[in-house]
Amino acid sequence: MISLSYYLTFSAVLFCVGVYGVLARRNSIMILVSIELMLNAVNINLVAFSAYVGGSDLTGQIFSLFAIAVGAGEIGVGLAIILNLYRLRNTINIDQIDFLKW
Amino acid sequence: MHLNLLLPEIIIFLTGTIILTADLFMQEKSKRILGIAAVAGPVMAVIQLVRIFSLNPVSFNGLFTIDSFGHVIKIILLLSTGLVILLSVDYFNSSITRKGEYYCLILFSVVGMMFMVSSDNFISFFLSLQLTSIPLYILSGIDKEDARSNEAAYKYLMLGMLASVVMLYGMTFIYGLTAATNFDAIAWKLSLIDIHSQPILLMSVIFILAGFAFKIAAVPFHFWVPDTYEGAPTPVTSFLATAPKVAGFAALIRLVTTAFSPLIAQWRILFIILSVMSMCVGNIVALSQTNIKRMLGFSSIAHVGYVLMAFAVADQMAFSAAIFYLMIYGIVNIGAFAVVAGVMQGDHHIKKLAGLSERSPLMSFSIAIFLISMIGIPPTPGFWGKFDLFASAINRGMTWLAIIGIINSVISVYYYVNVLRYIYVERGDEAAKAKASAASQLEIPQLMKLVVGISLVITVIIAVYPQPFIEIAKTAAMALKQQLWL
Amino acid sequence: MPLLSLIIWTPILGAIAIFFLPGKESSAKKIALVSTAIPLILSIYLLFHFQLNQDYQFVENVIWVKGLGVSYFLGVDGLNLSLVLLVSLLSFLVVMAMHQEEYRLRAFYSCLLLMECGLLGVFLSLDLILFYVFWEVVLIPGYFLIGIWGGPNRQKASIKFLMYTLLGSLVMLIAILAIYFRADMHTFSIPALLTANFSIGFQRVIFIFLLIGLAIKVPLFPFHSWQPDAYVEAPNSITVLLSGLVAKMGVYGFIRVGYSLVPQGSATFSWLVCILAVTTIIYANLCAAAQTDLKRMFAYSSLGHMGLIMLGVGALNKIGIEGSIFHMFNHGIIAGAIFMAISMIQDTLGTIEIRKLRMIVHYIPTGAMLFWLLLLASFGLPGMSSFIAEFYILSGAFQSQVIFGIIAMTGTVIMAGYIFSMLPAISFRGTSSDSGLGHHQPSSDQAGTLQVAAYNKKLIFSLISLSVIIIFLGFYPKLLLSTFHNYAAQFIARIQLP
Repeated sequence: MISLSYYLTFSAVLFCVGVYGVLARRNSIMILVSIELMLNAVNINLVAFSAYVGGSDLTGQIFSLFAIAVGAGEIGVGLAIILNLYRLRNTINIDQIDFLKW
Repeated sequence: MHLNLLLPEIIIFLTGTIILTADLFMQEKSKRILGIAAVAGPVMAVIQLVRIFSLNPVSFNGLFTIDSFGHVIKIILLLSTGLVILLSVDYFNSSITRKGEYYCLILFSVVGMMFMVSSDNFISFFLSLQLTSIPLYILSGIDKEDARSNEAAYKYLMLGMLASVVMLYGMTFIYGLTAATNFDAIAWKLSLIDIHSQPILLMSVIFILAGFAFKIAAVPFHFWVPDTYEGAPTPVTSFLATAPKVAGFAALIRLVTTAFSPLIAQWRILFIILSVMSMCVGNIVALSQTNIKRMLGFSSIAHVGYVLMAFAVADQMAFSAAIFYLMIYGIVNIGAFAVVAGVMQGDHHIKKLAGLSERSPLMSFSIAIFLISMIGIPPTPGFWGKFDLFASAINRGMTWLAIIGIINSVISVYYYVNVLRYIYVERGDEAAKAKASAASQLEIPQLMKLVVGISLVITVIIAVYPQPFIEIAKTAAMALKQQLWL
Repeated sequence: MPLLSLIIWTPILGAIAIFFLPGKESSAKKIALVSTAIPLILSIYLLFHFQLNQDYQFVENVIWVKGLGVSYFLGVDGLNLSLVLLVSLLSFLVVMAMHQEEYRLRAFYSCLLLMECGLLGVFLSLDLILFYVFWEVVLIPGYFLIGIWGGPNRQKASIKFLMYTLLGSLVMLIAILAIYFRADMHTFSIPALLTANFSIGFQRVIFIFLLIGLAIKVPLFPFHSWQPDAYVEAPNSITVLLSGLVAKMGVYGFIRVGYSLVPQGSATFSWLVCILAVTTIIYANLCAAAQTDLKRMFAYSSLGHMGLIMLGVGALNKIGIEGSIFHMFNHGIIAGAIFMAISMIQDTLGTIEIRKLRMIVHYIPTGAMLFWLLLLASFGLPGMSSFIAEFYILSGAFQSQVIFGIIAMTGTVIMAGYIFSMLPAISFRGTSSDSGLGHHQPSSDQAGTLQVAAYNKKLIFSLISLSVIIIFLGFYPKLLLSTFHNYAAQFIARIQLP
């Protein structure tokens, strides 16, 4: 049987890939996708923990369902804001979104 | 069922829904009434909260705990929300079209905050946190035609999502180690395991606190604050600066006093670092700001640092001081932003305030009181708040922390008084020009005057007789579960 | 009847009335006059109903903020009686006599009254936090008074004043909080804390904090740099209050809080206080000698006097402390009067630059005479009240450390030097040797003439009445000395306790 650490390592790698994407990508959509990757790492963690340490209690899986649903809502709002920004500025490159100084 | 106890949340939710529906059927011109209707929600909810105030705490299936700590925080939240809505009515009179959505989003966000304050479980906490945050992202960008407003929303959204994911990642490990999501159960499990043999535990605590630090805007997770505060419409800024922070702090207090209470030695150090950094960075960077909203943003970071001092001290007296400080912080900030919303449009450079004392003596007087209170000069509320906080630090032998706080208060004098200098002292060309052009008196909408007036009256009451407010804060702190300090 | 509350709150009621009531600017002065006259009358009443052998009188003690242990605790004793009299007298005279700029007159009087309220509160409160609150209440109106109505460099001077003094008071706040938590009974009440027994190490640390905090306010030498700027840039009437009253807050704080609550700690560091005091005396008088305008000169001279007062406190003997308390009153009157006189010179002759002033005895004989009298009083001529006070202080200093006495004497000699070189110059210069005093029109002088405006009669009246007080106390010092005789004895007894 696959031990818990495999899942955790996998999710950690996924999380790190997401972090890298957030830091390195300049395109707003790609950043959103990277955040989504991190969210998936979270979900894998939750489900794995639920299976290995949660016993008969399914809290972890319920938590992950909520996380997926809320994440979808968040991405929806994010895309809407990026779309509106594109309409106004004709760019979604974060280096060019600089009316306000960082 | 204890539906009575959830009635405040239900009232706010229903008000939001009704306004959203009514918005569909109303003429654009008559939508001003929506704002005034929206105020009714918080008012009714406060009345209900006062009615249920003295009831015994009740737990909803280990997801929510309704207790007087939550009641006090919710009253602060609802009062500030009511003021923000009143402030918005005239501010958005012509600029945004979908007013119903605006008020509805504010109310939904507040529902999230109210649930967040009561949450007793990572799942319910996470859900209510997102219910709070998502409307706030939209609110920052509510003025769709304004690129700056949109950029503010964009930055807030990106960093906010990142913060919540990081926090969630930390939560998963806590769940993995304890097989529980309820705060009390976690505390019990954590007290059984050997903390030092689990390095992942410390990491996940750091992740979760980082998420919180983002929400309450503590250094080094404050990067969104200046941009979002500057770009968002002023009433939204005043909302961002008060309600989510109060709610975030309250949730944090609940979390550290229950779930993380076995880890007190670890998180105290983290909070000391956060507190000192927030105070110093907030105040020092504020010195060089020329935009008043950015300056108030950095000053709010500094105030977060003062409140975090209570977490570094971490006893009942300190948390009561923190709650008292949050009340004062909320009312004073809304007052200051209301004055800014009333007297400045477009360019928010501090220079634009020159000669304000000639154009609008009462507004100048009010903002002077608010800023002096932020400095913490007696007998303003800010003084009582800081006094309470510093006293609790000295009481626990952390005099050095109080000294850092005091040095920071002295630094902060400079930038607050700089604003007063423009308003009162500057009587060069600008004042003369302003006098000539604006035909002396500035026209300020009635409702904004009302908001400033209410804030001013509450400020003066706290200044003269702080005792009842301290008493309320104490009641709230006493209602917290006591395992930390016993 | 809550007499002391009435004294404190009348000015603030006046301030609110002036600020919020609609009406002409001219009515502001009338309200201000009434609300400064009432405290004056009441404090004279206090003086004559003061029981010489009792400790705290006219006490009012109400719990204010229970959660923080703060109470509203007022009382009069030997130490603050004369100071309350001083505050109400000078404020009344300033409002009555001094001419104000027309610019935003109502706000001006509101700030002034608020400041008076703060000063009275500082001197009357017997609760540490109440004391601190009033202490800061003085600050904000002070900032606005200098900042809005001050001279050309007012912006810099006012922010410097605010930053410096706020730093000082916050350092003091730390000491106050530490005292509260270290005392067994957890109280801010000063009379109760007098009996608290703190360890000697704690007392030393606290005293150092208080020393820094209060030395900024007095000010003593290395912390003084806000003072000359603030005095010079402030409008004349405010300079009167700053030099006469605000400066006394620091010394009062030393006596009331520092030396009383941490006696052993302050006894160990008294040498430091004395050194700072004599350095201030020498430094201030040297600086004063180098100044070219009257206001700046007497700003420094006033600083020197503050050093002298602190020397009396630091000497730690009965005669020294009596001299200090007496000199606080005297110097308040004299410095206030001198700055009033300078204001009179400025109003009538249009300048206060020593180089430009000439023949003032010819132009304004009455004013010049009063100015002479006040400067002699400032120097400590026998027959004036200041002579007795300075004599007390110096003998106290000689008793404790001869060297301090000698240095302080040297400072007084320097003062005599610049006063007696400046006075004849501005009084008689411009008359050629062949013509008698006043017979020759100075218009022939190549530097041009001085335009003489009419006297402000009320100002002359106040100067005369202040001079009368100075001379009267010179011959009958017992009137005030007797009030703090007991206090000084107790004060010394407390410090010399093991």
